[in-house]
Amino acid sequence: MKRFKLLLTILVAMAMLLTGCGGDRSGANGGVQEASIAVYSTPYEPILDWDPSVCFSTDNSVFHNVYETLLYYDLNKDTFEPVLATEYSNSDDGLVWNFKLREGVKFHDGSDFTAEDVKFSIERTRDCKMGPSYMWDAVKEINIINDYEVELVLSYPDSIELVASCAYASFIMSSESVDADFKTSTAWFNEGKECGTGPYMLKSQTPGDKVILTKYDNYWKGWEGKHFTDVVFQYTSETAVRRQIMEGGEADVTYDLPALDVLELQKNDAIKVSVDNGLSDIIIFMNTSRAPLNDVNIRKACAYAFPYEDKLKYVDLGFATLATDVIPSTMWGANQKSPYYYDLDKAKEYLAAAGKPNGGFTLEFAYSAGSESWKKIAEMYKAELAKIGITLELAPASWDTNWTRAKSQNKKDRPDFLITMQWADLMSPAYAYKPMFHSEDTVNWNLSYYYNPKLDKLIDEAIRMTAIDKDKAAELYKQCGQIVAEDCVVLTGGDKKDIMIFNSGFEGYYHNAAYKGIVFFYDCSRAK
Amino acid sequence: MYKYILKRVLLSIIVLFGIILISFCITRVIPTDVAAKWAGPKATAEQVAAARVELGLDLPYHQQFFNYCGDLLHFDLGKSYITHRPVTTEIMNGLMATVELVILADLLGLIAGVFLGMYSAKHKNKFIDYICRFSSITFVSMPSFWLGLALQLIFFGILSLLPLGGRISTAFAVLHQLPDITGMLLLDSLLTGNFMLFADALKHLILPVIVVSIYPTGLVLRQTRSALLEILNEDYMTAAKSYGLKDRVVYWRYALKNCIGPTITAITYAFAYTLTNTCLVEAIFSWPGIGKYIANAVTNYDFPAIMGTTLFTALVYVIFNLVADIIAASDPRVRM
Repeated sequence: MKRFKLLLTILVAMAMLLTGCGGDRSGANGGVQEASIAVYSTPYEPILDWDPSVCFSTDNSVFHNVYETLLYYDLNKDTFEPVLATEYSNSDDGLVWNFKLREGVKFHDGSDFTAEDVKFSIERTRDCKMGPSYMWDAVKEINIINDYEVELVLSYPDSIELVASCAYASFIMSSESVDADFKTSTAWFNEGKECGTGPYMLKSQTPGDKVILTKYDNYWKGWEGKHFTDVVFQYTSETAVRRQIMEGGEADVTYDLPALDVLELQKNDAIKVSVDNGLSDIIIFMNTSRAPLNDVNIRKACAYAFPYEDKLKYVDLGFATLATDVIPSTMWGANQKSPYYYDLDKAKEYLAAAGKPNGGFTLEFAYSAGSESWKKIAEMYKAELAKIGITLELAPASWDTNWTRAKSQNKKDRPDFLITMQWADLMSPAYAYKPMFHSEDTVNWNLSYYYNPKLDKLIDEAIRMTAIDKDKAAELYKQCGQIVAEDCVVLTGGDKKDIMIFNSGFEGYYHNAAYKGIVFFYDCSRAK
Repeated sequence: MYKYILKRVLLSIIVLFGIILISFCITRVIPTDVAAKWAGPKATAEQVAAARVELGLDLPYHQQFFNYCGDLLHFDLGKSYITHRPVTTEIMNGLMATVELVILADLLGLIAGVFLGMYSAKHKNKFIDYICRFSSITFVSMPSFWLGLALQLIFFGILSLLPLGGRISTAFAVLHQLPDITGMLLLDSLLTGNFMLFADALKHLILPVIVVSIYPTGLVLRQTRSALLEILNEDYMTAAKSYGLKDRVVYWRYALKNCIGPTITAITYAFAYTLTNTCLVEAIFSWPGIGKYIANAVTNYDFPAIMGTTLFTALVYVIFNLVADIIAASDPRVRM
């Protein structure tokens, strides 16, 4: 027993020693405050692919601090602001675009930013055939007028200003550092290399853990005023841990916390929560390629049976709004009212019109396994459909499996409903209409299998008009939305809000749904 | 002895080949369009077609398998569909972070387990024994994510004594260049004489090490206790006691030596287990290790990464089995 006591004493002493050398929390964070380091706690790996041409994920929040684009699009004001391009113009037919470039800009590798780099970057991204490369598809050739002027010639009219300011695909890289061969250069990037013109450059990175950026002294806007000198992107997947990180003041920014946590954090004085209209929405595809959903009346019955309001209340806890169109209401060209609402009597009327007044058939609802909110939506919908005699079978599987099933040549393999989350990559309704509602040769994203030549023509015309007359294009997109709603090929599950969570001392963040989740750290600072 | 080892090594190679074949078949059977994964989240049909050719997925299956095996001989596990980085590099990146965590945890588990097991056996059916037996069951069955979150809440949230997660503090990572010799921060900091880094890395290790160590602790505790109890009833133990030898000598020199064999085997298996099953602990403590990488690969259907990590896990088990067998065979009683 004596020995046991001795052992216990030693253990306690060791524990005290260890925690003693652990120090206090301010030791870790105090340093952060002094050196003006910003910490972004990310729910996903900060960087999946270091190649700016391939980047097509949440890792663009790092890219937009390292690289720059020709233009910046302010969705709130619907204006384009100059970044690397100082001014631009286009021909009346939308086929030729001219960009005047900023002089005196240097890449992180020390080389000058010129027209050569613009030509190189756009061509490289367009030709790599990965990620968002299709956005530049319209570009036929790029002519260098002089060192600071380029001309883009298109094969069909397209709104290049939207692509040049896009949150993806639009990064300008140094033609000096990047090898002309794509395979060589993409491997070079993925060793953890970059060559942008942005305010921050890569200092160090640990794949799957963190990325550390530090200020680029020769940044063309200069470093006058209050700016962060270093920015850390720290990956923490667990939401419970991320909440503690924010509460403990260990990070300045995070997002993607469960709605319940956000509600709690809103009560905390040390935390600032910004909730704004976003550009992502829930789209539930209906399989029009086989019975019973090939009957428009049955599809309408299903649309009137969907619990739109309850879903907002119980699944989103208020962090979403009713869908008004198949694109988010914040997007230009969106109709501001949906013809569908929850009304079981109307649903029954349509069932009767389809010759099945008592229902009596089974439908399958595919959703991504592991998503609690989608499971809830599926269960709520199941309960509603049961009231009109339709049985809903829930089919959870991984997204990949669901998507592969939906793309199957065999119509029997395809689920009746497939729930997806859609987000705008390009700031034009084309992001949704072209892949989801336009006819396609092989099934890829048109997962309602909806082919309407009249709509195809309208979409093509709207895309063309975007480059020429945006107001006219908006009108056309509204018509597109009405046609899709009339044929009722998808259910709309609501527009999600963008929620960002900040340390209360963090200043300078400007919400712009066109750059979801991206914090331009150069514009931000911390109040003392 | 050498013949025995050679036989075991040959057998292991066959096992590994079987695992390669099975994991290859499974990843080809699961209905997932991997080419679309490679091309990106909103891939066009044209991009997917290009990716299919790029990845060699248009080839017949046996050709794909031969190519995979051929690459394996060059330690090339292919490229991740998600990050487009070589899987071998990614595994090696995460491996040392986990090895550091697991070595410390298993060492702690071994020491604590042997000590507690010894006390438990010595005070059989007394209060202390009940506590030890109760804790060993609790330790083995306690969910690590729960313990991790609870420790975080206590030591970070309430007491503010220890950091929440990560391998080093953010300020340290920003302000200092980290040494990269072995990938194990404690060792590297000692090798470079950077004691600030040592202290910082150590305090980040405390909580995850405790959480990982509870499983081996419980395992070793039970193993040691039961082995000791058997031996304590042997005649030679009674003889040793009757010679008037001190308790310490009787227990530590005579008893422990005779029962440590199975304990070592247990800790070897525990090491292999913890090395490949730390994903939850790593996720909670933001530890950039192999466990988190395995979990990510599985949830993302990242087949090259899944096959790579499966092979890695198999390799770890095969090697540790071999080591355990060799250790066991070094006991003359087993060899007889």
